Amino acid sequence: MTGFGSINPAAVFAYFLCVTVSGIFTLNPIISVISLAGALLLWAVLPVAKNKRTHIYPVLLTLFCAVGNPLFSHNGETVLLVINNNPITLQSTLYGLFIGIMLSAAVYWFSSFSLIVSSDKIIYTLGFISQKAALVLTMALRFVPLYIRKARQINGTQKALGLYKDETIITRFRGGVRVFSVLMTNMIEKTIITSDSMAARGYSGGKRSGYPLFKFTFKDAVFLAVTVFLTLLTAVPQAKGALDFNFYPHIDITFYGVSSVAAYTGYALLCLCPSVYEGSDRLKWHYLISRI
Amino acid sequence: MRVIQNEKLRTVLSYLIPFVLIPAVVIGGIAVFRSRGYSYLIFAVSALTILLFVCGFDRRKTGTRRLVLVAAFVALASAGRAAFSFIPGVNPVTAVTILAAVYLGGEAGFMIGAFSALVSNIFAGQGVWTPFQMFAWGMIGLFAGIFAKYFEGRKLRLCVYAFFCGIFYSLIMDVWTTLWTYDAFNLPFYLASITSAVPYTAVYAVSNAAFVWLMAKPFSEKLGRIKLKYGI
Repeated sequence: MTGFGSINPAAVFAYFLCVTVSGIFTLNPIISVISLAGALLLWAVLPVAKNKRTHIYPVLLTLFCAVGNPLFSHNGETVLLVINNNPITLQSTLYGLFIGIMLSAAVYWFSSFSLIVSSDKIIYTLGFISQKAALVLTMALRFVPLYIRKARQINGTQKALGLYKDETIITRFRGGVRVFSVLMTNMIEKTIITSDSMAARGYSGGKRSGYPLFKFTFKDAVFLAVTVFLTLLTAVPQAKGALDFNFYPHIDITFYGVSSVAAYTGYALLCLCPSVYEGSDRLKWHYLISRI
Repeated sequence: MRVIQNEKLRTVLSYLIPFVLIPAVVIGGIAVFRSRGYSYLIFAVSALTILLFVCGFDRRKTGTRRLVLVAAFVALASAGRAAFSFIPGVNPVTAVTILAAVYLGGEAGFMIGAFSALVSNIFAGQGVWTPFQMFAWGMIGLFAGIFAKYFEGRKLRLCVYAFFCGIFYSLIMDVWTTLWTYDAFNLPFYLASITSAVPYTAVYAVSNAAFVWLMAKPFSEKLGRIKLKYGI
């Protein structure tokens, strides 16, 4: 991978943690909008094949929240209309809309996260906390396709023997469970063989050596430092209340001068970081090509 | 994969994370996200519990056979989730977690439940819900393992437990949805989301019980045999 994908996974993890946590757990609509814009930009810039259907869910989610919230919450002073003696208020609708925007931003951030952080990177990051857990994850990830293939073979055998019926959903379910049970017998035996051969090759006996898949370079350290700095730039004023926002009874936003400006710019820059990284890499590539 | 080579640093980190990092993250986070303190709290606590369990799992001495068995059950549950996706709302993760936990113990149960959520979400899609899902399934496995002596060989009790786990899972997931949307416990919204999820919850709870009913015997025979033969 190039661009943002080439940064050390631990730094990428830290980045996604910072950007989503500060975006999700604030009720400030400006932060939500910045977060959504940043997430969409990154999603658009990433040079990976993307599924167009990703857009359906966030749009539906935003609509659902904007329409649904006023039905459950009747706070707010500007009444738009009254249904069954329950007032539908402007504030409540806007609250729903911004909750929807916040959730959509989270959807896009996680969508980009899935595109960038592949399973080997998850394993690498987990290795910081626990080698054993990383080993369990590695093995499980290798077993999943193996078991799916094996299950297909067992299914075929059961069909050929005339044991498997797929007439109703109940018989399909029972057939599925039988395949599952056969698969388990097979798997447990192989598990014992695997673990014995691991022990025979010296696993868990004595000191272990290791080989990290990704190197932590100066470039990664800079990226991590920038992420931490920008997060603190947002979080410190936020802890002092510089991002406080009230929807009820009427929409009320207060600016606290420098600290608010610092928080908003900090968060906006944080959201832009990966897109800038990706974009600058793309530009460099473009100019190198034209020169040759 | 060994990322931190220094043995001393690793030991320091493994004590630092539970005793310093976790309280700092919880208290610091609440100070920062005052307006959404509850949703932050519930997110942080579920994510950090998983971290704590993983750290504990790393420090304890686990036999190689046990370790590989945990990985195999994680894969089995995740492959099963993909294989049974033809019936909406049906997946064997809860059943596999419970049955494996009864025979392998609470900690293995937690790891199987939590890692099944993580691995199957690599195929089904990660999201903000991942830590919470990991936490819910992990807890289901943990309790099945702790109360194993009441469950072993008792098919009906296992089915009842699996049934209630299905309901509990949905109820807890809706608490999460409500807290996440409102950051306060909005009862009408909670009731509405429970009601809209009733068909899903019913299918899920009944299918859990059905899975356990059909798989209790094969599990007890096969895992019982393995425990006797290889002494896990």
